[in-house]
Amino acid sequence: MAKSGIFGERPVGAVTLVETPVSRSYAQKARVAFLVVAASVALVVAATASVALPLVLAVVVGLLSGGVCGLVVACVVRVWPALRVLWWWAFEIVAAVTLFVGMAYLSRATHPAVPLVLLAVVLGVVFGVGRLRRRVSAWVWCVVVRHRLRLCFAEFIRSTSRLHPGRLPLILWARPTPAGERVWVWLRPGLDLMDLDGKADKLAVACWAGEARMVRASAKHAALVRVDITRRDPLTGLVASPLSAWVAWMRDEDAPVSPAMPPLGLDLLDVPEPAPEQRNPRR
Amino acid sequence: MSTLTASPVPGGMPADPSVSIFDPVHVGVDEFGHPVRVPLIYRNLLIGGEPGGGKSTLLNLIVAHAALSLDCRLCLLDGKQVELGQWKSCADVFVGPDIMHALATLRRMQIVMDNRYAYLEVAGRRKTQRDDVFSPILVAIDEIAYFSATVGDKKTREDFAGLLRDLVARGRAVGIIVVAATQRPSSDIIPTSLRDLFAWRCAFRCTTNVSSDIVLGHGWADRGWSSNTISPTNPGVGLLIAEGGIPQLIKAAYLDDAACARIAIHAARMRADRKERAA
Ligand SMILES: Nc1ncnc2c1ncn2[C@@H]1O[C@H](COP(=O)(O)OP(=O)(O)OP(=O)(O)O)[C@@H](O)[C@H]1O
Ligand SMILES: [Mg+2]
Repeated sequence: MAKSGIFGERPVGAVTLVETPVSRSYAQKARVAFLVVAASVALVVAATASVALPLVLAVVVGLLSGGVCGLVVACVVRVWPALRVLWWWAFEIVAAVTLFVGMAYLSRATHPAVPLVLLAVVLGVVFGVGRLRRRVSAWVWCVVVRHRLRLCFAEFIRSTSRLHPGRLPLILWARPTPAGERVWVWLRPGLDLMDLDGKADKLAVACWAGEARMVRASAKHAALVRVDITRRDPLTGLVASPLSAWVAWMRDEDAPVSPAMPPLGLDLLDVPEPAPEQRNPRR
Repeated sequence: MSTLTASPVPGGMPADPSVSIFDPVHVGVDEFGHPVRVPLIYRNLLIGGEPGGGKSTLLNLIVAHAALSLDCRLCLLDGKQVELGQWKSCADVFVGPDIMHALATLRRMQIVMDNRYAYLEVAGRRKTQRDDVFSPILVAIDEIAYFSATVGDKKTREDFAGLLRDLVARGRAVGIIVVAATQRPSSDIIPTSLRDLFAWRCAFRCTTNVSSDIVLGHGWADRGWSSNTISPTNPGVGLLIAEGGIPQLIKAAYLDDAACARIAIHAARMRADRKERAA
């Protein structure tokens, strides 16, 4: 999970350029991309080739290479929404594929029952050992929270402005904390931390958590935001001060005996009503 | 110190607690279980939260550290007497629920502060440092509302707030550290001009998001940093804004009465020993 997040940083950032105005169709974008890339590649290649080749040949080579490059880029742009979804689910897809390929390979190499037994043993160990189970479930929550946060941010962006929708923040990596998860988010132009003010509860609801807390995570980059998701209270134990250890050698006889004070006037009935002029004592 | 060396040290603890007020004060743990240490020198701390939230406990922790720091002097004001009463023997001045005594003490503090600045000015320095000719002074005030909004008349309350504001505003560089605790430091309790001077804040459980924002500063509750969601059955948990300027969920360490008493006796002995040696 962490891997998908860490790898997620650049590729997602590099391509989300395309995702901005929701209204413009990806087909139109693909057309524009084809024209721009084809023309510029054709020009550059033709100019470069004309040094060595005759002019006509150089132009043909330029046009050909421009066409190929333009087509490739246009295809990528056209299927971008699908690629993006694939990227979002990359971790799950890779995990599932690895599992199935591994099992298929094992069953062919050994006995068909071996991978099943192995899987059962691994699952048994993970669920049986408390610490391991908590570890795994913490990381699973991290995966879940990244998806939930993405949906939640998409909802915010849709609801803020139809005319100028902001861009989806990049959900960077997430890691488990004793209280829940900690997620780093990179805001894109059009959104800042102030836009998220008052939305902490919505984030918590979306993440099936108790609380969500947002804070700027970097002094250098206003775009880097940390979201702390709280599901448990890890601070229930009593915390000892190191100072008390320093005087642990003292015996209790060293403590002073409290000076005797007669227990007078400790009940309401023992105290007379103050005289009127004393009611507002100026001390 | 002679009593220390004569005593057995069963736990193998070094019997020489040499702390300094220039060291960060251990106040508890964060949600990762890591210790949280807050440097207090050149800073002021405001503690807020509902009754029973753990304010006095944190204040006691800080005073305990300061009492064991032989390079720090104590000036304690406690509207409730008992919260800081155990440290009376270590303190230069202990003020109970007596506004006139409180005012007189703050005036003395103001004079001390002016004298210290005059000294630094002649010495060509701008702030105090470790092993200086004068020691930092911790001014710990519990139940500040008692002095600033409950007893006395308008004049005395304004005097109190004005004097305290001066200490908070100017005392930093000469080592005057003000740590004040109150339940809800709203503008009817202490003037906003005083509240906003406290660099560091600690909010224990508050009953509303607004109260939490009053302690921590405006806008934190909107981002989810509200001490309103802290469980009322878990005293000592609070949001602390110190270094970094970002709130941090902490659980304050707890010193029970017996531990406080021991530390107080020990600190008082060390202080008396030092005085003897100096004489
Ligand atoms: N860090 C802590 N760990 C465990 N228990 C604590 C802690 N802090 C406070 N408590 C418990 O909460 C009780 C109340 O704490 P404390 O007296 O510090 O509250 P307070 O905020 O000063 O209340 P008040 O406003 O009435 O003065 C303590 O007696 C103690 O039992
Ligand atoms: Mg108290």
